[in-house]
Amino acid sequence: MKVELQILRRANAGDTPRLQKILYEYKDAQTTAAFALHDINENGCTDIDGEPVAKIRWMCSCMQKKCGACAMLVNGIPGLACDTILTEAAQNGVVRLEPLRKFPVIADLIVDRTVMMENLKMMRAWLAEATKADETVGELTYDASRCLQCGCCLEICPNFCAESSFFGMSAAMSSSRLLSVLPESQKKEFFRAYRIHFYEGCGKSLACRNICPAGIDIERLLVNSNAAAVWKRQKAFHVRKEEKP
Amino acid sequence: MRIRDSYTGEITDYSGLTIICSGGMNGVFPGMTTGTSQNSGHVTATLFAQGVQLGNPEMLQYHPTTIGISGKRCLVTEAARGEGGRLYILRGGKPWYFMEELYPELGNLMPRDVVAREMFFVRQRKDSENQVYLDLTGLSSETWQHRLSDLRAELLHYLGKDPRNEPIPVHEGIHYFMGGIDVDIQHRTSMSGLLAAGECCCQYHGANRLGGNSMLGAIYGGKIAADTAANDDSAAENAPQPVTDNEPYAAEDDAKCIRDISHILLGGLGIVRDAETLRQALQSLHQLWNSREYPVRMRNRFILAEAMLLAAAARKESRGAHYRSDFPQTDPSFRKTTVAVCENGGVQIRFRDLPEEEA
Ligand SMILES: Cc1cc2nc3c(=O)[nH]c(=O)nc-3n(C[C@H](O)[C@H](O)[C@H](O)COP(=O)(O)OP(=O)(O)OC[C@H]3O[C@@H](n4cnc5c(N)ncnc54)[C@H](O)[C@@H]3O)c2cc1C
Ligand code: SF4
Ligand code: SF4
Ligand code: FES
Repeated sequence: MKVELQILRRANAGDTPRLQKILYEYKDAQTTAAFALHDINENGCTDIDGEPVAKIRWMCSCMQKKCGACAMLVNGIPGLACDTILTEAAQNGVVRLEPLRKFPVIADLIVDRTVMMENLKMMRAWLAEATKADETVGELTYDASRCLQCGCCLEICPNFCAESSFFGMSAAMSSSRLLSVLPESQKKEFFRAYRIHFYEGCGKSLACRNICPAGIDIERLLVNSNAAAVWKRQKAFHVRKEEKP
Repeated sequence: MRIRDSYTGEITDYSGLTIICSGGMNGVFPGMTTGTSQNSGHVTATLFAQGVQLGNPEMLQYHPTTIGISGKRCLVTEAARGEGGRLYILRGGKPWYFMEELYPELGNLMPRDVVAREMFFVRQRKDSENQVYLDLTGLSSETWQHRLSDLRAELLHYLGKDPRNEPIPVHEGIHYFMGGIDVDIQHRTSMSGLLAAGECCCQYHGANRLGGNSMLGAIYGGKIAADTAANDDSAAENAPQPVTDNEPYAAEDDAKCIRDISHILLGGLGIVRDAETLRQALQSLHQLWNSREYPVRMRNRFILAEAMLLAAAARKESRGAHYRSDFPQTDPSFRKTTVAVCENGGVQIRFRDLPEEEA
């Protein structure tokens, strides 16, 4: 099997980007873009102009959609390289890989997503004291905890940019997890942070819904988070026994 | 200590105590473990070559149910068997649920080392095919919907198989490193000023590890290490700092050689080990080493590999994850920690008594 990989290359942040085209051959129909990047880096190859391909810089850790490191644009749409099966992703035989655009580029496909963590710090999105989760909050909290902090939702969001005070869906997911168990002492402050940094900035167009590589039920969590933090419905995260979804 | 951020390339000098948290040494077996490709094993190799001791480097946990996906081994959670998944192999063309027959009480839910070993044994049998399957077809739709939805999505995505309808071929795969950088109860390594916590160090698990309790090393151990560091700066002042490798480096540079070493290691450090295969592995390792010149960072990896093989050869007994077919019994005189140290360029293996409360 063969695919033309087009990779947006930059040696560093200041470099002029150029698209490098590589004819990549593979044997297994399940081969992912992540595998191809490792393979090319390990074994070397030449591009379609016969130039040797310099090591492609990209972020990778788990190779199985669990860490969010490898988020990039795949044919223009944000996704994970390890979730991208080449055979399925190819359009007219081409898979184009580019770095996410909402974050500063470090080199090739690596971007600096520090702002996501900084934003969570600014919201003080952590438990300041030990707390107990009762068993009825399990399912929604579990869904929220599947967020990889990959940033794909931020990439697609019309309202998010790295400099803005609107922190986007990734921050809302961390908030959801927290809101379900938040101790009394943190409520006032955190509800406020949630309103300012998420609720008031989100246009609720849900452009982010179908992009999430973790497949989180964003809409459902949002309804519950808003109910808890904005409308102060204490039991927003408690799924009552009889209404098991 | 001089640290280079591997993404930005920024170099920063830090003073004071250092806590190493570099995880299990997946990169010693590239593509063959369930863990992250970020944990290159480079940190452990570099420190070991500078005299930092290792504990129990021979103790590797093989998880019974992993699947090969693009570029790695992917874990199939134990919960799949917890919910009723059954392991079988085709014997004479018919499914043989070997775990249920061999261990009527716990069956498929025996500890990881036992299941992995039995899988290895049944795969070697002449009357069996060399492939073990995990049969999940009997699980209820309720289970798939609420408990194992992620697993099903993963199997569909990466294998193109729906576990509700067909059995999943599984294989033993390296999952956890019980051994690593040797630390004391305060998480100090043998080098003053240097601490280690989490899976990179050898502290809590001994020869085996039950699922779920790496929290012990990563969270509890991390806290102990942090407490030690916060309360003790006496050592920091004059501590000899380990030399870090600040050259832009990706394990990919040496990929071929790292893979060659890993194949040699797998030959000696499989689920079932014996003196002869370990001897052969050591011999192959020396041949590879003598075949050409290597940069220092590769030399460190050779030394680490040698320590793992020598430790497995020295432990002439079976215990936990370390199974020797030539010494199948547990020998109480080996109820000790294996200590590997690199002295004058050579690897020494000794055994240290357990602290009294553990013995
Ligand atoms: C698939 C899977 C499922 C698991 N499930 C469970 C479970 O259910 N329960 C449980 O208790 N345990 C589980 N474990 C084990 C557990 O996840 C690990 O033991 C634990 O995460 C180790 O934590 P750590 O902080 O020591 O290391 P890691 O979390 O591995 O972190 C090590 C860090 O060091 C960095 N690093 C390594 N080398 C370098 C280098 N040279 N330069 C710069 N940075 C470097 C890496 O980038 C990484 O961030 C599982 C493991 C896997 C692989
Ligand atoms: S709903 Fe729209 S505005 Fe809100 S986070 Fe998603 S994409 Fe952004
Ligand atoms: S919500 Fe989904 S897309 Fe957004 S950061 Fe989390 S995992 Fe990524
Ligand atoms: S490498 Fe972890 S999500 Fe792709």
